[in-house]
Amino acid sequence: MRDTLDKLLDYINGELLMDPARRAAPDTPLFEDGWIDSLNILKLIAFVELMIGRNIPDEEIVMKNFRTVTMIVEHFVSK
Amino acid sequence: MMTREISIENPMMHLARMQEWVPSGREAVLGPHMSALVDWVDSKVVELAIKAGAHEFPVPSLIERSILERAGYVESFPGSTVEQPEGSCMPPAVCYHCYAKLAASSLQEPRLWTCVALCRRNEANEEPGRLRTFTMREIVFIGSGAWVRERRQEWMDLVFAFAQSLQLAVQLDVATDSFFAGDEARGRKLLQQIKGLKFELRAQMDAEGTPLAISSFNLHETFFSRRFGFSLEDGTDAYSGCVAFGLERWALALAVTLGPDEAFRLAEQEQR
Repeated sequence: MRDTLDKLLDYINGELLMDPARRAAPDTPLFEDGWIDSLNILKLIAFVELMIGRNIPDEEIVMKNFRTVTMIVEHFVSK
Repeated sequence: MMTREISIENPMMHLARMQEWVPSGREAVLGPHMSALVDWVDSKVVELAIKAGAHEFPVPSLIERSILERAGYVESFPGSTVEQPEGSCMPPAVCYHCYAKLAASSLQEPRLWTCVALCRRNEANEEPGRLRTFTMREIVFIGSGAWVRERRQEWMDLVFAFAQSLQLAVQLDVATDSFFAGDEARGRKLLQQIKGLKFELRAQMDAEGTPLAISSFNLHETFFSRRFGFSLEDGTDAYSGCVAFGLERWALALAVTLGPDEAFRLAEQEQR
């Protein structure tokens, strides 16, 4: 689970957040202050889908599952 | 969705026979009782707004196309704008006037406004109650992020209770509508969904429980303050939000769920 969390953090910090001043931590709220925009959200979802090997239905794309990297991993990987 | 028993078998046909809601393409011609009911709903919303401390914000019947361009409406909803001569348009929503009014200003205090206008959109979908020309009443709040979020929550509670007091069968849900085309459209829709930026109050429109949105509760974050260049006193971008009431839809939902006679009595009692 730690590996998955690190992999996801690396992807977000390396590919999605182009601003070097912004580095997401496991509990950084991803959807406040415009960290993730309307293009990056699609990349993020696609990356999580690849990690878990299944498509994520729209109904699961809600704040309680996506607020932070920790919450994404807990919901989609740990369960 | 909570449903309520509807005694009339085909309420829409019944209203058409009464000449109170006569569909004509994507428009409808309203009879005198239905029009009075629309006015009655509006008067009740204004009462709530005044009680909450809102000020009436009068708006013109047309809006400049340049305002809609600046607000991002034209690019977000291509083909939806109804053009008028000399660079004007029919307003697709009322609140754009408010942001234009505040352009390049600094707010000394939050704004709580209410405004109403006849709006028009080139609607692509056809369903009962979805009109191209309709009356929209809005409550608009502009201030800090926390203040705007609180106002929206307050109005969601207020309007839900108001609808229930009228015995409407309603449900409040995060909106999942997608107005835009292409990949970015899907991204915007999911972002809107994840952040809960738009909620809709949906009312039952027939015996099967088919829902229609009668109000929406929207957070724009700092989108309009950045577009129009207005800020809070401390120089940070202002947040905005609005609550929209489709008044004809409210009247139709009342006539369908209560039955026309009971619904029309609401407005008549007020006139006595």
